[in-house]
Amino acid sequence: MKPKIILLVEDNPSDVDLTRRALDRSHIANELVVAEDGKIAVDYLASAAELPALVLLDLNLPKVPGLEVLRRIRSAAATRRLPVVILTSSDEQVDRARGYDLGVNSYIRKPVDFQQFVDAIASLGLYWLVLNEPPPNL
Amino acid sequence: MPLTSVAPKINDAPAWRRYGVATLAVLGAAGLRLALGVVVDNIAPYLLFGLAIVIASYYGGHIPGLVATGQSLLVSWLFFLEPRFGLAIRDKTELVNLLLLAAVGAAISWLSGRVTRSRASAQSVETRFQALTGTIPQLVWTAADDGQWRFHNSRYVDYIGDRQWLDACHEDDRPGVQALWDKAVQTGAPFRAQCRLRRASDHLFRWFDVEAHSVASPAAHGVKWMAAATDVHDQRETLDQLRAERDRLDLIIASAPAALCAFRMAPDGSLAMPFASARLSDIYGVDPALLATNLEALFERIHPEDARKVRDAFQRSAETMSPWLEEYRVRRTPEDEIWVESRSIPSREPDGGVRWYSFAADITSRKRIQQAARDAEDRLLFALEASNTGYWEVDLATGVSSGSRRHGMIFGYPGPAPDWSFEHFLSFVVPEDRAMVALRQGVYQEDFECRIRRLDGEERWIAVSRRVAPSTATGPASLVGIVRDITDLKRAEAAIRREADRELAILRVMVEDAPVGLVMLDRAMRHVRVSRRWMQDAGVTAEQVLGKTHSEVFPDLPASWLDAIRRGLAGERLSRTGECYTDKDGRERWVNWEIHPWGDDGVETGGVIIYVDDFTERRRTENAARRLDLEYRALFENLSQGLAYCRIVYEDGVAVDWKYLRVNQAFEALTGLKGISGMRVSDAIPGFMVSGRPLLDRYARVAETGVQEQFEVQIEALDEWFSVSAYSPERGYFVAVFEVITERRRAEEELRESRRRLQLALEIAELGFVEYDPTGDVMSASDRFRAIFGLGEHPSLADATARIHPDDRPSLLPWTERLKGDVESWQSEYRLLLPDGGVRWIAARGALHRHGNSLRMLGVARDITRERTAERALRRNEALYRAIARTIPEAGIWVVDPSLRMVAAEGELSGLFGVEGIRGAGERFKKALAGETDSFETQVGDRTLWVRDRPVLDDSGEIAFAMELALDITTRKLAEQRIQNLNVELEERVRQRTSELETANAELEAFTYSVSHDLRAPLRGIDGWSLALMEDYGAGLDERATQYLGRVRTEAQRMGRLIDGLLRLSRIVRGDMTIRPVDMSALANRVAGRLVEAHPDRRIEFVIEPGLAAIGDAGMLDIALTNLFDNAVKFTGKREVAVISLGRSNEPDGARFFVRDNGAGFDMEFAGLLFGAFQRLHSQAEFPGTGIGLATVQRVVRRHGGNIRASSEPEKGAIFSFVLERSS
Repeated sequence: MKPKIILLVEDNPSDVDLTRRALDRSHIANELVVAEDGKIAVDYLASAAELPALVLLDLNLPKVPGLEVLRRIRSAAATRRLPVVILTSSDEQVDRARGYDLGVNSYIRKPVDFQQFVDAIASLGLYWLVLNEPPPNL
Repeated sequence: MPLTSVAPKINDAPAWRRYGVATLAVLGAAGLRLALGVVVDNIAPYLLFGLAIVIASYYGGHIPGLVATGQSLLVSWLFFLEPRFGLAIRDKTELVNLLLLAAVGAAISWLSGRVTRSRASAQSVETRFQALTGTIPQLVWTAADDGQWRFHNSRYVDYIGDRQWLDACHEDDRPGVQALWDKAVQTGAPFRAQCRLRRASDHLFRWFDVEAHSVASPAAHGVKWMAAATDVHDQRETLDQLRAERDRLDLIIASAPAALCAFRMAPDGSLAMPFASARLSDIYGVDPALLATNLEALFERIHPEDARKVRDAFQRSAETMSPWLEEYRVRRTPEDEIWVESRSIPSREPDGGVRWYSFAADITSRKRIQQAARDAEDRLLFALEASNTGYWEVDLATGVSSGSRRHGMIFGYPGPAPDWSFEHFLSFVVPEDRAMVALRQGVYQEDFECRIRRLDGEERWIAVSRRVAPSTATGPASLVGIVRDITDLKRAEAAIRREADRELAILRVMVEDAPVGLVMLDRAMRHVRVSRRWMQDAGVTAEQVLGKTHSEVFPDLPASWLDAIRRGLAGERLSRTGECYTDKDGRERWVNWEIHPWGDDGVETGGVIIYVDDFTERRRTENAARRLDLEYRALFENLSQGLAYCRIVYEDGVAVDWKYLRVNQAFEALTGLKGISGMRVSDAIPGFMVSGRPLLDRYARVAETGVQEQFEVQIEALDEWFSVSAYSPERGYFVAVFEVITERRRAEEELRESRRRLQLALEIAELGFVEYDPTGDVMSASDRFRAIFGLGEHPSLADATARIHPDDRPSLLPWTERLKGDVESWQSEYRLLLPDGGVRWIAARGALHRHGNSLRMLGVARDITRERTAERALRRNEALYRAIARTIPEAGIWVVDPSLRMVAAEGELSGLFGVEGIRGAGERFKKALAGETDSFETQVGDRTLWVRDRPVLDDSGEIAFAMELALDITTRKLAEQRIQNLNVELEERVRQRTSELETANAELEAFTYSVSHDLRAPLRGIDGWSLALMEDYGAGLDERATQYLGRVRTEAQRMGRLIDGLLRLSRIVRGDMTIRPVDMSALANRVAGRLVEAHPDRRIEFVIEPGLAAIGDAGMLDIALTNLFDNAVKFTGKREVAVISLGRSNEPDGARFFVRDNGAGFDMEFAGLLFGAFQRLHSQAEFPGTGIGLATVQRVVRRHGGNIRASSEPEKGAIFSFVLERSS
């Protein structure tokens, strides 16, 4: 069985690469689909034949902000149970609160220390892709 | 001594005595002869014998003289001439002497005989009288000037014996008799006396009338007086009894508290008073003698308004023959007016006139008491005084006493007697009465009389009544007493007794003149000798009767009388008593007579002696006395006072009962006891002895001591009170005169009750009462009055006035002015200055009280200090409020009472216009009085007023006033307008600022946000890519390059931490706070736990004080504590064991939390830099850090309104102390 897709919604190419590197380092072999802004992400999810196993969502996005993306994911019937993890530099309480309010599954703050970032990605991958039982209809 | 007057005496003597004298004389002569034999010559013996013969002849007569002669011869012969017993006769001359003796003796005897015979013939005339004296029933004798008898009759001897009559006279009478005798001797007037003479046979004394008349005859041989004594003992006893009865009746009348008299209305309608007791003059002030024929003098004394009434009463009573009873006023002098009660009971006289037995009593006291009882205002104050009665009261519980002024005055005090007690009272009683009075101690329901010695030394009689007043609501039981000075009464009684004595003297004269007559008739019934009394009685003179026959003098003598005399002449003794005859003047004469025959020589009677006791006068006297007695009896029967004459019944010497001997009608009427004469009281009043024992004891005392007693007593069995006057006419008997006073007692009781009530009223009203009598300068004040005035016992008026505050004195009229009587009553309020310097306000009322001629000042005072103080406080408050109201600027206050009357109008506005200036004020006040509150704004002219109406409640919550308050708010309105304009501007500006601030906030927000997101992302790239370079190309890089890349990463990471710190700091500055109680100890433990976990390689000991509490935002406090602890952990890094403690300490400026460590500490020189952001005191190498932690802590503390400070020394550890709120 082909590993499921991970959708990374991230506009910063450096971060995309670092995330990809961290996934690699963590030996997560799932295909990584990158949406460079919110709109792309929304559109992708609306049109995708197969929903990703996990959405890694940045908040500070061009076009459609991350929280709006999350709101749309949760408001669409098809994606409303989709595991979404916010992966962001911000630790603003406002963001955290709204993210959870909108039904985010997890909130990860990206540390500056890359080593720590790798550890976080590894843990994240292990958890959401291996340990966690996905919602039905997926 | 004349022979004639002596010899008959011896001749009458028995023969043996006469011959005995002769024999004794001879024997005496013989004895002397023997004794003197040696020294006398021969003649001497015969002289002695001769003397004996003379004596014998002289005393014995001629026969005993001859006997003595013979005896002398025999003795001489036997003992001296022919001595048989050894006596030698001297010579023959002895014989011659003997013969001579015989001759002389015979001669003497013969001579003596001759003398005797000649004397007998010479005395022939007198002999007859001497003989007849033996027959008369009186004692008769003759006497010389010395009073010694020379001759007496046989009755004298039978009665007095062989003594002088003066010696037989009773020793009590003797001095008087002697004096009378001496006087009679001096003047030659007849001697007349009445005395008791002692009877020799039984030594009893009997009364005699002794009379003696001088005898002028020169032949009387020295006898100057002819005396006779008549036995008047029985007569005298009768008179004495009558007199005793009279005395008794007198006493009864005297003790009756009323005047007794008889009125007589002649058929022609004129009134007279045939009889009156002495009391009458006490009552009417008229001599009863003046009234005997005409009563006008009496009517003049009766008050003009009442005189008519009394006359009518007589008239009516005479027409209907019914008793009358009137009360009327009698004016003895213009100033002295009394009330008299008079009762009269009529009876028809034989001549068609009417006779009243009447009594009149002074009922002034009673009237006054009744008046007082009626008069509610006066009765307490003056009734007792008016009745001249002292009143005192002793509280039995406390012994505190009080007495009326009169009471004190009776004992001689100028005012009420101080500290009254029985002992005190007893000290006044005269010694004679003290024992009697001492018996009364502890006996309360009893009245008595006694004498006292007043303070001024005068002895007075007083009557004392005492009662126990039962306890009442106002106080405990007390002993109350009434004292009356009855000296005047006693004097009046004494005067009455003296009057009685005078009457007795008259009686005595009458008795002295009592007729005793002697008539001596010879056989021819010629008057030989008559006594003066008889002449007097018979109405004849000596010339008319002497020598004339009885029938000549009294031609109309009844035959029976002449027959009696004839029988007497025949030798018969006759006597008759109580015989009546009509004398020559046609008068009826009553006599007792005795007829004794007298004989000349025993052969034939010489005549008769008639002893006539004419007792006509005496009988008349007796009849008069009897009539008087009847008069008295009629009086007693008609006396309105009950009278009982009783005898005490004794058993074994103890009084156990009494017996009514006689009672009058009033007694029966008053007691309701009928026909009890002869009954014992225990039978007359069944059950009397149950409670009547004290009364019996009292009567028994009266009957035994004879001391009169007056008292009031309640007979429970009859349910009546009696005023009793008891006295004893003789031992064992008593008379009780009484009247029913139940009503008076009730009046007195009411009076007392009323007095109590009045006192209670005064007490309840907290009124002090004072009375001032200017005549004696006596003030009597009630306890409360003295308490109010701070006065001691018995204060004077001067004491009281001295209390008046000096400042108030000028405004008060002096007492002396008051007494002028211009103003009848007054009232004033003034201050007292008490001795302790305190000031007391009193309200006083006073009045003048005129009572008769006396003027008194009465006053009451009340302590109103409290009211005054309250009033002043009230006034001050009112003044204060008015001042406040008046000074409220631009305001007006109007207050009306429920009748819409304006009570107050204050404030500036009220000066500008009235409340009516604000339209509709009346309606508003009415609404406010109905309880509504209203406020509105209105326009008056160019002023804007704010008006408020509201009710004003008093203490009890009732609506007392309505108040309208108007405030001139014109300027305020203008100001408000300005403020409103300013506010609009301000709000505009604020809005502007706010929007600017919001923009700035939003920008700051966005900035922070972007810092949070965008500033960190590059750092992560730097770090990540540096690591990627080392990982991917590490082999191509030398050690130095790798080291640099490491540096890049380190710096990037440090920058990340800095950014995090800054974000945290900004979040703290901006973040919202949730303030609630925080358990600091628990929070600290949690933080400490996290830190210990984060530093597993360190040995860290946290010492956290338990129970620390704070109020604040828990999250921020978590951050603060985390930073502080983290700081401490960091700076203790070089210690083997880090010790970090949290606690709370008390500093001078309050309690503070502190966090202490044993770390590196810092230099206090740089302490000011500690809390700045990014400030560090240590090198990064020594202790790495961002320099934001303490800045954050400080923000947290400041946001909590507190402060934080630090103290330390290098290497000595550091202490951070903070407080969250200044106030906590």
